[in-house]
Amino acid sequence: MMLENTDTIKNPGTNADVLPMSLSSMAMLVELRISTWTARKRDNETTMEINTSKEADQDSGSVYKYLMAGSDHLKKIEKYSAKCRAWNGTQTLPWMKGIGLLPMENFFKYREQLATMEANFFALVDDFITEYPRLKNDQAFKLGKWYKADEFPDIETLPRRFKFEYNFLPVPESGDFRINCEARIKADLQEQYEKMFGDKLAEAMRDPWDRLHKVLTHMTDKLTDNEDGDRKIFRDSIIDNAVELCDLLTRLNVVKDPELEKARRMLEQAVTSTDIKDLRALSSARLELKTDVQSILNKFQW
Amino acid sequence: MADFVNVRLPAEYVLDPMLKELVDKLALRHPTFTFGTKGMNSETCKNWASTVPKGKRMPPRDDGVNYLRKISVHCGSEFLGSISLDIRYSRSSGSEIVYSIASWRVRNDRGNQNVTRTAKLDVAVRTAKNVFIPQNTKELMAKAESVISSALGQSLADLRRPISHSTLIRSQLELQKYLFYHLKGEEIPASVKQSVESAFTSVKYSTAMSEYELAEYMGNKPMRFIHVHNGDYLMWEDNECQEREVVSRTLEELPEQIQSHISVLHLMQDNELVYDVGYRCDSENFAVLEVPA
Repeated sequence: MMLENTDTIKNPGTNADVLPMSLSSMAMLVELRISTWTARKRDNETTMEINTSKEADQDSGSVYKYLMAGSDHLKKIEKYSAKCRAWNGTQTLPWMKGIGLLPMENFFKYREQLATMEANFFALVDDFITEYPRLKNDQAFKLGKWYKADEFPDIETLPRRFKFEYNFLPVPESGDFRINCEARIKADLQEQYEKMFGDKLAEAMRDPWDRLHKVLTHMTDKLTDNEDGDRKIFRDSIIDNAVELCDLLTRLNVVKDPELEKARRMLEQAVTSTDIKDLRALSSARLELKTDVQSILNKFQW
Repeated sequence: MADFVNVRLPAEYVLDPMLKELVDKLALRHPTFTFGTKGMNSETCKNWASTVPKGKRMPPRDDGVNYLRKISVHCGSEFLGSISLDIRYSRSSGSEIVYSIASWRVRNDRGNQNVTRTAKLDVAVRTAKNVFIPQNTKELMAKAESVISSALGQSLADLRRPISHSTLIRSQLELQKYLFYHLKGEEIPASVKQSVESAFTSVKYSTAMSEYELAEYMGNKPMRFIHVHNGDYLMWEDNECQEREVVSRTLEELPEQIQSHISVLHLMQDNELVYDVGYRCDSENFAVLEVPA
């Protein structure tokens, strides 16, 4: 959508106006779809037995069996898929269900990493498919009476159940309603789209502030000593997550919000020279960092 | 076992199975890291390879492919460290095969300062996660500053040397005679005159003197060090609170004067000093004259 120079959105942190200029030139939409074979099958016979034995309706409960019991090949793929989806969520801003807003600044790094993840995903799938005949035979012992050979997919069709697909789409412009209808209806649709667009963009820009707020409040909580003077237990990730977020926010600030950049730089300054060992050993170090973090929380509206 | 795209080995090597367990976990966890033999020459690879795997009992290979026991870890062009299989001897457990993780971030008080060893896979994964961290901008700038100031100092010394060490003057005695006779107003002996004047009027001496003056001029000027990282320019700047911090700018975001200096230096050779512009250490490290505020 080509926003006019007078069109603005509100900065969620300070409620100030931010000029987004042309979003379609600064970001794109990305849709990532990963699907795997779950190997979960409803066992109708056992379901009926259990429901009958419990004197319940036949639709009151279901029994599912896992066709790859005792094997971690498929679990590795599922775990990796979940990791890829989570990573995608951190690298993009929320737009619509299944679709994220990817700032152009983050595009090349995102694309490179996504290609590596895709290749590794299919390497895991190939490894699973190579082992599949042996794993399938093993299930005859592991599933016991639940085993039914015809419930397992053929090795020829099995690869089709694993997908790693992504599409890059432009952020659509509001005037692009190519439908034949009355001018009044078209105007209504455009107005509706512009409102939706504005809401989506404000929501997308809310996300980096939320992430920053979450990290800051977590740090403040963990850096506050207990009443007896002992420190709370915290991991190295208290600093690592902050450093990672500071790096990510340089690429997620799609509208170049100066307040977000200011908050990011304040956090970066506070954590880059911090040693986690000092934080654990010295209450003065914890207090100093907590003061810095609290000052960021106090400075902006969240 | 799966072959991941960020594990890159020459065709004649495969990873030792015990090492592959660790490398596969790390490769999945860090898709931006590459695991391979980059930076390892063929001799090193041969020394760290064998037909029989160290960790597990398996028959030796006879297909010309060897098991590699050491691998280097990179993030882009940055070398993060290496992982290898080593043998550790102890009185209680005799000898055991251990994971050996080397990185500049590992600091040991005893033994090999930059290497840590463990027999446990999960400990090795955790250690790798803690030490294989790309340098942040402060670390990059600190390293770049050290490289640039060392190279700049060396270049300035090289430029000064012919004059400061009088390397172009064949005989100090002749020079003294020349000056003595000249200051006394007497006729300078022909051989002395010819020898001294030919040295001081030669093109070589003129060039050396120009370079010396260049070094003297530029050596006294305050310089700002700039490091290029992933296409961005890193430099130290004072923030609003007058504290020094590392900032990252694109070429277009640099102050105009610095932008023009950098553009000139990009055209120069490595280790070249340019009058009133700055110094090019290499394609990623520069020192530009400070622009007055």
